[in-house]
Amino acid sequence: MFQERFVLRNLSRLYVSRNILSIPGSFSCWCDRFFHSLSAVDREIKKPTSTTVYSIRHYVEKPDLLKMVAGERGFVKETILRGKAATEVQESLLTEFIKDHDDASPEQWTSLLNKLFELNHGMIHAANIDGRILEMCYVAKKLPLARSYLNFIKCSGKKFNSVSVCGFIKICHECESSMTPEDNQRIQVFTKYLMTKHQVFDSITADAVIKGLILSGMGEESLRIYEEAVKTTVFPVTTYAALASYLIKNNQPERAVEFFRLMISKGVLTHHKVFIDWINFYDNDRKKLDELLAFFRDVDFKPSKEICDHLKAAYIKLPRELSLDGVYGYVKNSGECSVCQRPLDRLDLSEKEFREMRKCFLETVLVGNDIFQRSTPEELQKFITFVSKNAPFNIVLDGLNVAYMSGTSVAQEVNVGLVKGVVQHFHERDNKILLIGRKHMLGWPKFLSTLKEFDVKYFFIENISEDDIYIIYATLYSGLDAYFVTRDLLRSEKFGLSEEQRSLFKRWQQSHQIFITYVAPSGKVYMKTPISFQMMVQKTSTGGWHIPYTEETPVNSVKDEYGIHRKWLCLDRYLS
Amino acid sequence: MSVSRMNNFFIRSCILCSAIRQRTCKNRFSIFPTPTCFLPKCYQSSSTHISSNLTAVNLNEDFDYDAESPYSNIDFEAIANGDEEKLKNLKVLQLEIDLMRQQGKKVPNHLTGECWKELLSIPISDYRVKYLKHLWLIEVREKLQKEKAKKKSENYSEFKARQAKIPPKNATTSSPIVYSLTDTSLFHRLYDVTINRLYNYKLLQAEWFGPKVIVDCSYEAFMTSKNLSNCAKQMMIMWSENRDHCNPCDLVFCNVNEQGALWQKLTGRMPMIRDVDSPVHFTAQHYLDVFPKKQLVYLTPNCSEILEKFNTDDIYIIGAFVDTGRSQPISLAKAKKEGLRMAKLPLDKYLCWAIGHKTLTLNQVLSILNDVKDGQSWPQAFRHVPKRKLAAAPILIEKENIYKLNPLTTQAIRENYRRNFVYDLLLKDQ
Repeated sequence: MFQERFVLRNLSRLYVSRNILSIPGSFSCWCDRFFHSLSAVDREIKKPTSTTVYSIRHYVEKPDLLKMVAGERGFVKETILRGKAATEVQESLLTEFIKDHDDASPEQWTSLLNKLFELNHGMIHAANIDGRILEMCYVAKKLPLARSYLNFIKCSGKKFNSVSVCGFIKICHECESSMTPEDNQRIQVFTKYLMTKHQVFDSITADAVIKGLILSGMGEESLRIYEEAVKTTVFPVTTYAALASYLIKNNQPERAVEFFRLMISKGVLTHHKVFIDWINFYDNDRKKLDELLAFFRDVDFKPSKEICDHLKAAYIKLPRELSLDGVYGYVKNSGECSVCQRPLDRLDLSEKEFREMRKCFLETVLVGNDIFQRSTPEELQKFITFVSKNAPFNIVLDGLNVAYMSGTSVAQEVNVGLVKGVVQHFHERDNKILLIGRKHMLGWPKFLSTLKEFDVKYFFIENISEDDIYIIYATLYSGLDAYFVTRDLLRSEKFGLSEEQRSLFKRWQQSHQIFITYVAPSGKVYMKTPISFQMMVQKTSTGGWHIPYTEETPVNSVKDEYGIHRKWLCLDRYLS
Repeated sequence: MSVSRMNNFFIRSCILCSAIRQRTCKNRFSIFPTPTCFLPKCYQSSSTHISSNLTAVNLNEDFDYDAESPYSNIDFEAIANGDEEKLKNLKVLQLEIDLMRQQGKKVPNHLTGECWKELLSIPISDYRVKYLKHLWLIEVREKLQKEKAKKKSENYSEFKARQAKIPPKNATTSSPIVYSLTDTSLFHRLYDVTINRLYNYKLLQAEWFGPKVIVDCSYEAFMTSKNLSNCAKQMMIMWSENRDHCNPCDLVFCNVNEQGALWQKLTGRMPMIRDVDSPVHFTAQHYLDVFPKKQLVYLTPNCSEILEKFNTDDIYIIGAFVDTGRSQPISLAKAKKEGLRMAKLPLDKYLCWAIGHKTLTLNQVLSILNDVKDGQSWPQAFRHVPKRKLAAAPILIEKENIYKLNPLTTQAIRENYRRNFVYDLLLKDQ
């Protein structure tokens, strides 16, 4: 692809004159028609001169067109790449160069820059070339190449600007293992320059200064700068990772944990290297390893396979009484670990937790900012009185969700049949049922009579109101024994709650929501019962640990998971 | 041509090509590197140490202390107003934007005081990046337009010079009268003032006798800065298209907050609003205080009732709300709260939507209402909906490649013409 474009650039530089390839291709016809379509006046103005410039963006993608350039009218054209096309060519040149070279001499750099600056309408020019190149070296993790580029800058007499300095420090931090002692000196000089030139730091400079100070061994100074800069800037995750690693190596675990929390609150945790640093530093200290796992449990974090490997290795190395064997396994549907056959912790909320969560939810989310966006105050009030008279319920059905399980464009009899099957299933098991539907369902054939037959209480809301809040209200009001039936994951309901309340709500939802998968024509109902055990890092009764892990990278801690987590690491004594 | 002759021809032309290239391709277009040909001045080194050691990095010489960034002259006092925190944020922002420029991100070269104030008010850095990209695009476009204009004026001066040499056609007659469109012609010239007077008179008639349409401007708090400026632009277009229509309706802006951002932007675009005798009708009052509630119908896309027929007794309300990025039915909630009737346009009935959200801009809605009010059918009125959002008929999809390739072939022009006439194919079968 790059070669094609290179060739085309040469073609485009041809001075075209008559008699070359005068095949009546579409391009010559185009030129003809274009010319004839102009008025006499315009023809005079638009007579092509030697400096007519055309944008040839589409020529680059259609080489046949360019090859059929006709010279009948005596066109003399010079084509120059502009704008986006030029920038694309420049970027492809750069990426190719950096991919192919691990180290480059100043002459090679000069030739590259010549090619880049030929396309002087592209976005890469002298002011921003340094930043671009160092950014690409960072992504490709090539420290020697970055070094050679700085060498080239110095050779050519240009001065270092802030971005190139920051970029180099970033690369050194990333490729710490391949640093030389001269690099350390350079970093000290660079850091000094940054600190003298700028009085205030933004996120890039602060990040570079902190990393530079840590690499040159002045970690305390970096912490001080962090404290100052955190008021005005937002740091990238790598800064927190750098500071956390430094604090671990200097035996300040509490402050390191603070930075872990900051990293997790950002939502993306690709730098799980910090946890490996912790494990490596404290690999003789059982208490500290346990602290790390307790931290994972607190923030509901599932570590990656790599971290689990390191944990397993660390626990085995401990002295006899404290060591734990680690075996990878899975968790059965019953909630037992496949390795040690012991059940996992239960998911249930205690009475107190449930009451707190319920109060919080009903106050903040149910009404929210504007009740009119979801329903009306009169309707809600009517529902509240209805529930207080008829509660407590065992099962609350989302009528819409159940009735439309086979899709929305089925006959109404099918909808009624589905609801009948589900209602019958629960009725046989002696449950007090509430169905929440919409007013248009009253027109369905034999719907109300079916409901009355199975002694189902019902409440129908307006066709434009949302039914989620009604279902959740009825279930919460009825206490811990009430379950609700819907396929909806209720993702939007949690946003009004605070962090702890959110996890409580999620636990409640996982243990009280019934998913109906299939209703057979015979009336048999297949469903997924609520999960009864927790899927977080947990301590077992024998002092071991059950750790769920993921094999996905990057490890994203904020992503919500529904369903049973299957991959676990079981750490226990005397397993093998 | 036989094959061998074709081959000969190609070979000859290739040789000719390369010959020409060698003749005309001077140093300027060589692809092989010339040493310091294209490098800017900052790269010209007079140093003798070609392979110097990077370890000898000198703190004073090698670093760019005095670099002039284009953002260094900011009027700190005017923007920060003495607020210390704002001042500090402004300095951090200045550094951030300078670094972005050095990294090659899309950042404009000049920033006015208003832009700095706007940037300070945006807390999230991603939104700042978007805003800076928008300013960069404006700069680039202005630059290109200037170049084009310059080229055009050069060409025109060349043309004029050539024309001056050609002797005029009726050089024999010595009549002083020159007959042409720009000199003496038989056509009566209508100036803008006359046309405006006609339009304004029509608006006055509409105010006395015509139907009213209310624009509800109370959604300022729900719109971001970009949406506010888009809304103001749409309101201006809406007002002018209404005035241009053969039977305009009386457009009344209710719930106007004159100090608010939306009205400020609108008066920035239409300064004549501030005139005492301006034909723009606006009030800070709520429409419930001015018009009888029974007649009001709120147009909102989230309700279930469909507007079948334009009722001339009803007063329709359009919410001045650009709601990109919002999923909550805010206008529906408002209408419910006030107990008004609601309706939505019959888009689903007549149009096959392909891409894009089913939203229409304010001016499109008003144009549709105006057409329907005049007795046109809904499909005819829906010509104001942009065609790119509608699903293309299968016949037209095949021809699209030609259309995209050479827009000036007669074939493409013919297809485009037919496309407009084949609009009915885009409508749903009823």
